[in-house]
Amino acid sequence: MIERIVEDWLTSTNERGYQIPFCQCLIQEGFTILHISKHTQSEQGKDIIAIDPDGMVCAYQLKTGDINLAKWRSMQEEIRELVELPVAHPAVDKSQPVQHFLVTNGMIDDPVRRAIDDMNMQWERLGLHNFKVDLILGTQLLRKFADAAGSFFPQKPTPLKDFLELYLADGKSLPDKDKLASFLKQLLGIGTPSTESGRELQRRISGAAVIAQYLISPFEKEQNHLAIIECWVAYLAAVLALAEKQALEWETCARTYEIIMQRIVEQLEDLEAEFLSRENYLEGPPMGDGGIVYKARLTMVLGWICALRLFEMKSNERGTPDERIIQLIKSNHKDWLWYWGQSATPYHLIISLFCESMNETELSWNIMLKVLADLCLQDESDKSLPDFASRVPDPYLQVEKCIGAAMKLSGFEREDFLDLSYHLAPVVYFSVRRNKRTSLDELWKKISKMTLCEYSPRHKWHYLLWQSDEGKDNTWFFDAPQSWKKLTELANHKDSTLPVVIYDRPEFLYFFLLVYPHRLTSESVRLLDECAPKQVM
Amino acid sequence: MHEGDILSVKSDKGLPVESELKEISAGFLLKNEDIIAKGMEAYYAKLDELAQSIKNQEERIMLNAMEQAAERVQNVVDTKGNFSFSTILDALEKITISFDSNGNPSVQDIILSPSAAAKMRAMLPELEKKEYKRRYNEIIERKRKEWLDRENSRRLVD
Repeated sequence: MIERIVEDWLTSTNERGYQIPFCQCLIQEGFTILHISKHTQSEQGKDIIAIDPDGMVCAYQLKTGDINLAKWRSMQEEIRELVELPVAHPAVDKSQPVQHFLVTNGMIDDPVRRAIDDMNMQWERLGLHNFKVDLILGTQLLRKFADAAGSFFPQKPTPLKDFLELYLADGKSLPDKDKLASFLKQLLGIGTPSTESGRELQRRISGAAVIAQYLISPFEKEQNHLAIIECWVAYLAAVLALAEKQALEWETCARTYEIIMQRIVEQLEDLEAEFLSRENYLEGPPMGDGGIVYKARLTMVLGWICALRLFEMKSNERGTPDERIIQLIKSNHKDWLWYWGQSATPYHLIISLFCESMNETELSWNIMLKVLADLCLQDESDKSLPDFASRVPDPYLQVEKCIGAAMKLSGFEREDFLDLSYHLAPVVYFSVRRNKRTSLDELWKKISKMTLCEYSPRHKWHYLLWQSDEGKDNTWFFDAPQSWKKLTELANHKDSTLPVVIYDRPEFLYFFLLVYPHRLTSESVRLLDECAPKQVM
Repeated sequence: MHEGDILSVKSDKGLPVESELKEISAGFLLKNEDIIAKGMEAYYAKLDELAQSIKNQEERIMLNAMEQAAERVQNVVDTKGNFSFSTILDALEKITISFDSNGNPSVQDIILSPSAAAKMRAMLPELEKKEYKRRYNEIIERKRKEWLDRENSRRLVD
């Protein structure tokens, strides 16, 4: 079964698609990955640089499909670069011997094989004994990938059914996150007591990444940026949950985490490039697009691009972000942004934080003030409430359902909600930290009537799950009258309720909250504020 | 509740109350001969019974929760078996009443046992008595003032 699935996937993917599984196989085999080229644009002919368990440096160039003579001629220069140019990496001594590999997920024609032999012999004749290129072909990759995932691949009917449903998903829509997260949880063995060693868990994490890549392939075929990113964020959330639960040495999952993060960032860069190159953002057949569908898409895309910018500013990868993004938000935020319910809060928050980091504090506040005002809507007679729900939808209601209900599509019902808010307290505290007392004062009559709600999982690692079944749903009210001093203390209080793995890498929240909007809590927003990148001067 | 197994409710009076999830279930038995003779109708006939059973269990849980909450804060009026409108007015004194934008008090529901409900229905003409009306109006005016005080307190202070 696993071989058939791997074969089906491998023959239809490209080098970018199998780059992550290939790296995970190397990790499983004990290699240390030193470098992965961005956007698979090989640097000096090298897509991946790794050190094998015996200390030998290995450089790989990845290709897609069968290689015939014509294709070989077009890539010959890159192969020369792969072999002849030294590995430029601080961890590698340039005089060290290097093994070079040409990797493809297809086959290689006999004349090409002879041409490679000739090339190797020519180097040998010149006394360049370390200059040689070896081949890793589709059949070998198939074996590697099947072995890497094999022991973790679901065998029982229910997870197997879940896998197949996810694998055969419509690549144009967003992933079923509930199903995906629950599948990943099972794949990583998070829900069951584990006696596995750190090494075994590392193998499991790598194997799960290989299987996750298969699940992402329908979205890669459609170049569905958001879906690909959501899947990888869900995978990393599951890995972090496992790391927190088992108190794993960070080294166990560090390289996989970095590789997947790099993949997420690359995908976001592609999204940003496409966004900046387009005149409009209609997708698919125009009928059914536009209006709230269009606004929801732009809210999400802008949210993700701002998350990328914040992440990179925080990681110090890029000093000055592209000015065009802030200009587009300034000119269009009133027309583009849509607050469809509380699952839209993280998008607005991230956009607002990005504006703030760019010194656009008024714009930043206006975006969140609108959210604050919307969160206070409680009377059914209030015309500002969406007509598809009795109250502002809670964060568990995903955007697709809000759109379906708003458009009165069959299968989507008008949703009923209680008069309680999961995001009002975090947004109030966000406002307090910015000393927005006047605005809060004006809204306090409404705010004080809202029942506030926040979920506290019994185990911290449950915070990283899509669904937690052990914990407390806390509901409370703000005081009336409410002391500003006490409110300020609450807004700045660190309550350490998040997993340690999150406090160690808070920048993950930029991505995580967009995929898991029900995990936006007072503490997670406080942490984002605490670790905010320095404002651009 | 979307997640977890405990609901913690902290009222505006600041008293947190935790409650665990309670199971509500109901079932029914069908004989093979009924299924053969009536098909789906045999199931449909049982549905009302099933729904009623679930509704009754829900009701019981909610009434118990209300009773416990009232007893916890000693907000109970003991009729000592002498149920009258005066008792209802005593109860009104003890509860929080809100008012709509036109100044009308929000509707209060009264849950009674079937026998108490019958007794109350028989007593309805008594409602016209001046003493009841006067006391009711006094209570409502007092509650209106309390409500206005509450509304005015909905603000930020130092």
